[in-house]
Amino acid sequence: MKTWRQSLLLSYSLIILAFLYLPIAVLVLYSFNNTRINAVWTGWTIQWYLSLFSNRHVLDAVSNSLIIAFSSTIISTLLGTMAALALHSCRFRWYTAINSLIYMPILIPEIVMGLSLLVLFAQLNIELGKITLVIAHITFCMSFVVIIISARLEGLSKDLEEAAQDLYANSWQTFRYVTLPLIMPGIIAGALISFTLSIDDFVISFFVAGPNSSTLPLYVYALVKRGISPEINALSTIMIIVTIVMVVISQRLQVNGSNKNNVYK
Amino acid sequence: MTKKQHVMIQLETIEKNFAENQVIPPLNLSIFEGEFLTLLGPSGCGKTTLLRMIAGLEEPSAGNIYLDGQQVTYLPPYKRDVNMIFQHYALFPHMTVEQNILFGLRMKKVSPTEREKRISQVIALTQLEAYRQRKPRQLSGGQQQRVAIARALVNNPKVLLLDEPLGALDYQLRKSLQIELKSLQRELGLTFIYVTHDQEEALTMSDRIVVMNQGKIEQTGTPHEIYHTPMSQFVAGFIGENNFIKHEDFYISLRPEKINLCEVMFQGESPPPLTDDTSRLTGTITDVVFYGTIDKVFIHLDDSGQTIMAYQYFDDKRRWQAGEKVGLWWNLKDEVRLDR
Repeated sequence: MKTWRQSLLLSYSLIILAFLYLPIAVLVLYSFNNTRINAVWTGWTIQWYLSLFSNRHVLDAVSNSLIIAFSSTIISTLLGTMAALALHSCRFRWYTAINSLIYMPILIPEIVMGLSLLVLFAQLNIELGKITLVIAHITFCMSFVVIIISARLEGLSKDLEEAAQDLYANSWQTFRYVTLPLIMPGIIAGALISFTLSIDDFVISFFVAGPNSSTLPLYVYALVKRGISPEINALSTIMIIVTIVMVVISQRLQVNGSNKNNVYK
Repeated sequence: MTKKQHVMIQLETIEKNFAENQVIPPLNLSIFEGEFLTLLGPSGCGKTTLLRMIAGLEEPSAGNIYLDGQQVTYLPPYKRDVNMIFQHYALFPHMTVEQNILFGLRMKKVSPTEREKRISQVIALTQLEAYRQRKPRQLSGGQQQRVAIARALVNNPKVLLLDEPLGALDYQLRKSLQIELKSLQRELGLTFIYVTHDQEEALTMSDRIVVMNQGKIEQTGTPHEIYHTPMSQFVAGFIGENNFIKHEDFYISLRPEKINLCEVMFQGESPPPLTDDTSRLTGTITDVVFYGTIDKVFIHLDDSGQTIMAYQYFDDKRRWQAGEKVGLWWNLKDEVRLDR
């Protein structure tokens, strides 16, 4: 009876996993397929990866994506950290309102965000390009940074900062030697999440990208319109791997960091 | 004390309000150099707030604080020559024991040679030699407590503030650290201000106890005075065990250990004859509860119907049982008369 139930549960979990990961697995598999036609499996090759790296358009898109991801990550991490610290230290009257306003960009449909940014840039006569992409990416990355760092700050006991002050550290020194090192895992996790989100974003980027600022997802989309080629599979595989690595690292940082601190709460 | 005592901390009509609530009504207190002063009271009585105001972590709403004759009321904590030991130690989790202890000296820009000298002193004093390079999370509760003490002492503060430092430890460890702390204080001759809600801790460690209730000082005195001559019903009830015998417009407070039990007839030799300096009552025992070295004997008084608790000791010959009639007597000098 028991084994029967267990095997049922096991097969159920396997079906769910297959449902989630089969498409991705197929995509990854076909990126190594030795033929242009996606439907038939003919053998292993890495030629699609090689041709990818010799394709100028791809390399342009990659460099655009990286430039935009790095800039928006740095700026949103910086601004987000400062916002989280400000919200944490001064619990003023509008705290709840401001807090929920910061969460909003995550909840608003991306298409609405993209459209509204496009309208805004048009109104302000800002030419679409890398700058507008960076600004757009900051709007949603920053919200995640604030959320992640706020969570860490919540877990920090106020005692630690008070102890530092009691031990002759002024406000800056308290921040520099106590608060900052303790929220550092959160800051890094926030930066990694920002980077991932920026690299992967399609909908918002679609609205605010200019003619010469195509990012990787936009480029993939353009390619797909001309039919799905194994190069796209290869490109997607690389993006999936990068994303997974980033998410795993940032998860690790968040979990480890919070475990360490709980002891001293 | 023969020589005139030097006032280390002077609180002058100190007052604290949080929003509309007055947590501490105007209060005056002098704390002398080298004394072990305990702020004792139930939670929420304002004792921690008072300590935090001395540390500078809280600003008083009105009044003045003087440290060693100097006005420090609005000085930030990092400019005050006092150090605090927090209830949960507040050790920096990302630093080693050594880095934790050195933190204050580094911030004060003490020279490396002097730093090394002082850290070896406190590490020897707190027996932390083996743990210098450990992180706080690798230490037991008692060891963490020692690091907290070392981290404060290394700065040679004028006053050490302790906010229920033993509250998070288990009973046995608390007992041994109480003794350690007290002897440390005596050796160093340092002024300790100790906050606790544990009356036993206060009685055993302090030179002077300040009993607080609802922000007010109920009584200040030596442990002996606080225990034997409480000046209010709150103090009499909060510290130790006590009986209150109601009279028309006053209470008599009477410690259970001061009450003698005897046969109800008062014949024979055991009870002394009723004189001007003794008092006696009769009653019925309702319950006898075992407490180790003593049994608590609960007695229903015949005349007033109140219940009184007395002790019988483990070696008493006469073993009292529930239901028995019993006589009680005590010396009048042992009772304390308190106004209602």
